[in-house]
Amino acid sequence: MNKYDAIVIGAGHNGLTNAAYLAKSGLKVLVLEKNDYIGGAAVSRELHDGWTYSNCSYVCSLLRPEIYRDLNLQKHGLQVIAYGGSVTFMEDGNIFGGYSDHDLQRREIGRFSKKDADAYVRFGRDVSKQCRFIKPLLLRTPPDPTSFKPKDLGELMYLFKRLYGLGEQTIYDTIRFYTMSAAEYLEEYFESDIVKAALSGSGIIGSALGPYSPGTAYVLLHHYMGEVDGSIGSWGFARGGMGSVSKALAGALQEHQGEILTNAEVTQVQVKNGKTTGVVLANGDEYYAKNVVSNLDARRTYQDLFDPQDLSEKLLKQVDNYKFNGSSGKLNIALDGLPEFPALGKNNPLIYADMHFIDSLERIERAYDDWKNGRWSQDPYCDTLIPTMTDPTMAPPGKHYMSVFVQYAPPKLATGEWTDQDREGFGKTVIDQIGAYSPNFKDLIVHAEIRTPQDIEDEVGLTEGNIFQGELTMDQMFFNRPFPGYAQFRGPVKGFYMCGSSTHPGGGVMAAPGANAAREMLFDLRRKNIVPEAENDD
Amino acid sequence: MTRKNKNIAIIGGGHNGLICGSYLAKAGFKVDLYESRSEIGGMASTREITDGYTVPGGAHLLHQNDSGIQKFLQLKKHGLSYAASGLKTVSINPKGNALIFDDDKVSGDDITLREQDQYKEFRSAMKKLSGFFKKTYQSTPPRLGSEDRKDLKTLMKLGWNLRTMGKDSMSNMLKFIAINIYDVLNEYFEHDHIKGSIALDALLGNRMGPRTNNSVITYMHQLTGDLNGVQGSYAIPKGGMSSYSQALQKAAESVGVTLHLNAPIKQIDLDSDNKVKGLILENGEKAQADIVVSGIDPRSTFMCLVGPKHLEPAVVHKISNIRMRGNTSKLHLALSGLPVFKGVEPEDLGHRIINAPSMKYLELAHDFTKYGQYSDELPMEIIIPSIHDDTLAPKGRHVLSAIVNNTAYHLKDGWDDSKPKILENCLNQLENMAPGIKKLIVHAELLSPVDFEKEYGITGGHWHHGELTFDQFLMLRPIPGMAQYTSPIESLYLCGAGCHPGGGLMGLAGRNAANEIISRES
Repeated sequence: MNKYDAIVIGAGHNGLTNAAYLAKSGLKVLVLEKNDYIGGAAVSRELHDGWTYSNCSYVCSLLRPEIYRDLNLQKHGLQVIAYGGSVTFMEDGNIFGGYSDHDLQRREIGRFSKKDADAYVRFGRDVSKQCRFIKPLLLRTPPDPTSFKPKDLGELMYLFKRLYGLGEQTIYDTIRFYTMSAAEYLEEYFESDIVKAALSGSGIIGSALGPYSPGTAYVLLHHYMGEVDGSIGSWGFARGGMGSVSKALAGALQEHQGEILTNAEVTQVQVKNGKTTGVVLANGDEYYAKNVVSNLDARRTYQDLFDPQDLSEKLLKQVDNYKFNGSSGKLNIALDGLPEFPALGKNNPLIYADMHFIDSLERIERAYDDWKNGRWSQDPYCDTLIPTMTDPTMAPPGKHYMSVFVQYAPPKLATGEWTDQDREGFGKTVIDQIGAYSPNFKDLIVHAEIRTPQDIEDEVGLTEGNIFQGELTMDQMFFNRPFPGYAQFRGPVKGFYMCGSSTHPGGGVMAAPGANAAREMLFDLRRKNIVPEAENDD
Repeated sequence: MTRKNKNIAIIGGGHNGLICGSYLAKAGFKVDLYESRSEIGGMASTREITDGYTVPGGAHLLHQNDSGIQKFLQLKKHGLSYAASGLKTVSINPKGNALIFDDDKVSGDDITLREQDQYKEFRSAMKKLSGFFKKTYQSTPPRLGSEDRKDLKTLMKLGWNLRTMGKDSMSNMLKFIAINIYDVLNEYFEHDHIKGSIALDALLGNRMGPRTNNSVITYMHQLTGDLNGVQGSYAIPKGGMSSYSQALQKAAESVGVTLHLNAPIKQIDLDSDNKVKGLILENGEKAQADIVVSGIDPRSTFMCLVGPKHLEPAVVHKISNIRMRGNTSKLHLALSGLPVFKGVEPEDLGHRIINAPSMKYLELAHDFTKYGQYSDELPMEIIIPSIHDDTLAPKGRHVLSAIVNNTAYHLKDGWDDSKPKILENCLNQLENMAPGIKKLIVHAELLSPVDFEKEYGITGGHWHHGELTFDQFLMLRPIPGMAQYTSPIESLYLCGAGCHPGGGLMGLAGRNAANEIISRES
């Protein structure tokens, strides 16, 4: 029996979330995955004996608590452990700590500037306002601003009212927040370079923009979003690695009799008379369903799975113009013991934190300039964590696992494709940077997996290794994501949908796009909506 | 009090001040205009660099004009005429392959037919989008979040204009509005030289690279104006740039505006309730006025002439955060003969020559700016106005005027040390583009953003009185909550380029401000 109500292509966390909701609604669902493991970029993999790597995504970034509860992910084995702040190592030997506790953070900032400590209160208040504004939108479908359908007009009205309800000054602040650069936004509050550098980091992760590029300020809210959610699950480690997120989602799917097939690469979506009829696998097997939903990014979906004749010229052009701008690399390192960081001193809890080794806006901006010029950053921004400090199950006793997310690495170098030698060079740049702050670090390395954007694309299927399945700039956000006219999760063919991070609200292990797509599909199938709305905490 | 009894004092005799004054005087107000320099016109002026050679002191092309204002003020009657109009753009590159842009047509540099069509399509798409801005530029921006009927009406009109521009254009608008010209050009073209040439239009006068988001706004901004009905057209006024200002001056005088030259203002005189009483001049004289309108930049207005102590801290904070670091210098040359530019036909020499061989070139120049440095290779817009107008230089001789972009106001090494080096770099660059030009140079000067600040009193030497970016645009210009040409000080208004819709020689800020004052003060 290879006939289903719905087929999901790709078992990434969004595909699984989408499938879980469809199955929960009573549909017969099949998830097809090309790799021999599920999870896409949310995986735990044993690539070196005894060590478990979260070898792509490494933290639960804003996993929607509503979904966590609604799908009973805890029951299915997902435990999210909040992690301990951040720390920036400075060139002069000093450190700057980032704490989730507001007062502790103020005191830390006060070490560098009293004025900035006061400004931090204002900053926190202003950014939290933005978080509260944006949060409910994560689990809503963007309206089509060019449409006159009542549903779209209603949603536009809702947005307008919400925006208007903010009051005059906050509306202006909102517009500024979404269009300014992180650096210039921070400069309006802070004078100390280290404070600005430490806060701006979240604005550039995964994106091919520098801290001075307009349009990076809004990402500052990531830092606060977790606080506003106020619940476990939004920012933290998944116990057992990121694969636990996927496993729990698969558990939820199977609880409702959904099926998953691995080693099943879909090569074609079948279309008959303008309607979706099913899919064909690489081995020639065919599966039938009137509803097919793709978890792949927008380009792979439309360029690889469709016969171009089934698509309009305009759409093909939009697909072609969809920007990825892959900019991130990753190192996964197995360590024989805990590296020492003399700047931290003994027993500093910041060893549990997210470590960075770049201490000024100019250095980060210059790292970005390298990307523009087709080089990996010579002085990169590294988001470094030792998950085994929090979750010892990921390495043998006494040993450690270090995850290093590296910004920026171009998808292609100025010299051409990445070679093995380039990969080694890239790894060395990163290891040297960390080694400069930890004398015994290099000697402790037992195994290192170095992943360039090209490697991420080859293995996980993310085009150009872009972790968000497409750059998150204004032209590719909200009702423009992935393209104008297709932001409501429906594809160009009846019965075809998209549910990956290429759709609203975009990347991060949030599970929101998957859930949003499920809501629209249930609407089209005239079934009751079971996808939760964002909880209001106002 | 009727209009006739109200005295209005305008600070600054730049084009916006003149236009604002003329509209107000025509509406029946008694208007006095104070200019600190000895001549009218501000950045639209001429400057004698050495005996017998005059160049445009700041702006060197008439470009973003508003034909409505020109007609209303009868500038033609008051002496405005063009030495040349409908100028083409000649984009040169080191290989000597020039691209020629003539309105919607492009040719040269092995360009394919497909790219020519793409250029037409691109221009028509962009002109449609800038048409939306053009409409928006004609009136005072609404206050957001306000329940006031007038604000809601303007906002509705804005929404209506957006919805009625057609589905494709509206989609394009919402997609392109906040991004960079780099991505947009990559969607249309493959030819590096075309992309660089178009991108320069978005960057001139601004502190941006092609990859900087907001550069689509600046591109559309410069397309909003029209000359003789042609959108985005360039012209050189006869008799130098100051003849444009002189026409404005005559128009102003003809409706009864009283001009005071050499009259720098020290302070805006306020009474104990923070209401405007008049002006105090540098020489200590007082001028009574019921209403004061400032045509100078918002930071000078509030921080120098009003003084922070009369303002709320939040306003002071916002005013001091306006981004207005100039990025543009002017290069002026007196030449003993006509230079020969590589790849430029003699008959094209009188047109607008630009140096922007690729977007990468422009981006690199911007990268230096970010860190307070300067590139050896700077993007330029060059004109030789003396080809069209023999009054500018002795017979057979010429003047060259170039806008040099990506020269930051704040240089790490300071302008005193850097200026001779930058000037030399520029001359070397020119020598590469036009071999032999160095030998023709009689006199050369470079005016930096710091010079512009000193000479014309614009904070940061920023041509547009503040960077034109999304967060300083429409209802956020000059600062959020003050976009209606009003200010927290009763009876003090703004009318300069720091206000909506911003810089360029359009004069809409001046006219919109006048309309606002007329409706509020009658």
